[in-house]
Amino acid sequence: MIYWTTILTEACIFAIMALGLNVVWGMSGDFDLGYYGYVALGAYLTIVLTVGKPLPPVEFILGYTLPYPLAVLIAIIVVLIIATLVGLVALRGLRAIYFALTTLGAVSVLYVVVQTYTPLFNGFNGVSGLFDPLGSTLGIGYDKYRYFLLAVCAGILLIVAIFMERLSRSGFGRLLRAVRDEEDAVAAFGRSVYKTKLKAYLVGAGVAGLSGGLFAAFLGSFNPSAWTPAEVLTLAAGVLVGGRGNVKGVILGVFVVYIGFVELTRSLPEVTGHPEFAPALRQVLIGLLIVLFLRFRPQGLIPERLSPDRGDGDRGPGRARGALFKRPDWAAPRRQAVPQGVSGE
Amino acid sequence: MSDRDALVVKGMHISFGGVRAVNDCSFTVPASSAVGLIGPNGAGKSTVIDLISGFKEPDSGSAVFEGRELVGMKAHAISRLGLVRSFQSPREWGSLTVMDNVLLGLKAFGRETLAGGLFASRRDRRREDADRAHVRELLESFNLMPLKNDRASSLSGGQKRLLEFARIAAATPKLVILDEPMGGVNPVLGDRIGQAVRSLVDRGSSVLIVEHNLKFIEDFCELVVVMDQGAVIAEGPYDSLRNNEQVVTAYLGEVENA
Repeated sequence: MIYWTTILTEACIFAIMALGLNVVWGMSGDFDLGYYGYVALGAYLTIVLTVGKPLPPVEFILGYTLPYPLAVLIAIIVVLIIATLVGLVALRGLRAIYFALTTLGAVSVLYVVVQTYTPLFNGFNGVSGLFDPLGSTLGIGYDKYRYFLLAVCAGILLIVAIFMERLSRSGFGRLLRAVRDEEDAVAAFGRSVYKTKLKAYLVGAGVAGLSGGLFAAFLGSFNPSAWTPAEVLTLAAGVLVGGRGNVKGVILGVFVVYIGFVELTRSLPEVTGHPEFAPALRQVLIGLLIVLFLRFRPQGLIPERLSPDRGDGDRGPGRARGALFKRPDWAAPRRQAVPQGVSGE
Repeated sequence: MSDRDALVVKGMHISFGGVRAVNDCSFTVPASSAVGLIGPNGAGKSTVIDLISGFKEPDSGSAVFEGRELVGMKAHAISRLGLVRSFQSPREWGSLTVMDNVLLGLKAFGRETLAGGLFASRRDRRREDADRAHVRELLESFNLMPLKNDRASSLSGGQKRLLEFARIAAATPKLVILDEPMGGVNPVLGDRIGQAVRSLVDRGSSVLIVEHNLKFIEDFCELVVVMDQGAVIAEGPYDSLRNNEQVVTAYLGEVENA
């Protein structure tokens, strides 16, 4: 029971991360390979802001004993500031693969610095000591705390999902998708491509910082072995399997990939003398999953939905195209004749 | 420059490597008129459009639109002044519906903010409804109403051209620059596009059209600017250029003899 509570909690946290990645990658179209760096920063900062001064030989910055929610809030703000700096460089004129490579460079630098410069976050040994935040304040005992944390994470996932859904359907969501489809046309119609992308990037980073704060509470400690720059690929697999740009799809995709894939592959038989074999095979399988989906179902399990215009009683086929199952031709709503001279090419 | 000029281009230069793509290009677009920009392939027409609309930065020269210098401004800022351009291919937003494409043509910048996306008020929603009603009228006038909820990428080439005009009409621009609006368009639809150009002019807009279809230029443009090798070699009404030897050698000749 505790086992499944733990797994569900982790899946909820990863789903929040994926929703942030979905704004950047799914809606505005840039593949941010540095995304996991913001999650890590959020987790590190939450811990060093809550656990108090380090005792030698452990060393890390800050070392405050702030209340957990305040620490998470500050962590999000710091992540936003750093994301602004990265975004100012990476989003100005860099597209597609160049953007992805720049963000990969940024997160790799962060990873090396965190690992080797011990006064920052205690280097390779990492930071620890965040024990059941809010548990004692609210008088929740150890046995109940796992359920409490699951409820908190599920609740935050729901709130984030609602806001993402609103964003997706709003004028801003429309603009983001337009940027993804045709940047030049967006500029030609008076919208700044760069500012739009930067805003989306900051939404993503903010959500990453938040999920990092939750991840810190979940793990209790954080160190470089808890994350690598490649971690983002597992998240990307979740977004891709579920359906880029679709909030419900992304959540479904993460649950499928994390529970169905990561957890079930834990039971792979261990090869004697090669303990690294099973984790490596898991990465290979996730890579394979990404390739197979890109090849056979790039739109994911629940594809991005068009938001049809409902005025004037004309209920067009917009929904049918976005649905799980395609409406057969004979069931499609009858269209008016195509206007003269429009169809022939 | 007089008040009657919508756009004055002076001494535009740009080189790519050693090639002078645009070399001392100057011309004027009078207010409320349609001007054709013609010339052989490689004359620098599309590059001039990019220079005016802020998609490329010239080495030197100026483009003044309603008293504002455009050189040095960003493309989206130029568009906000009321100068909207099209591209050689329609550049629709393929994953959006036809309706959404035209909604994004409107000058409704304030309704696309991040804060508005997260915390939309009832007033925002009422305004969006009003926008939609307006766009439906526009779609009706371009015969696109039956397709309003279709993905723009699923339209035919001709329908994409019409969508582009609906999008431009939604932006109510003062100056429109069209890059080969007749590309890949059949003759019947060509007339429809010509009418769309004239109705823009009737509403007080100016239109600059790069086009290889000379019949279209003759039928729908008051003035013609002829470019060759990066420079303007002639300007005037279409008829006056028929007998201009330079023009005939550079361009008209090769077409009429073809």
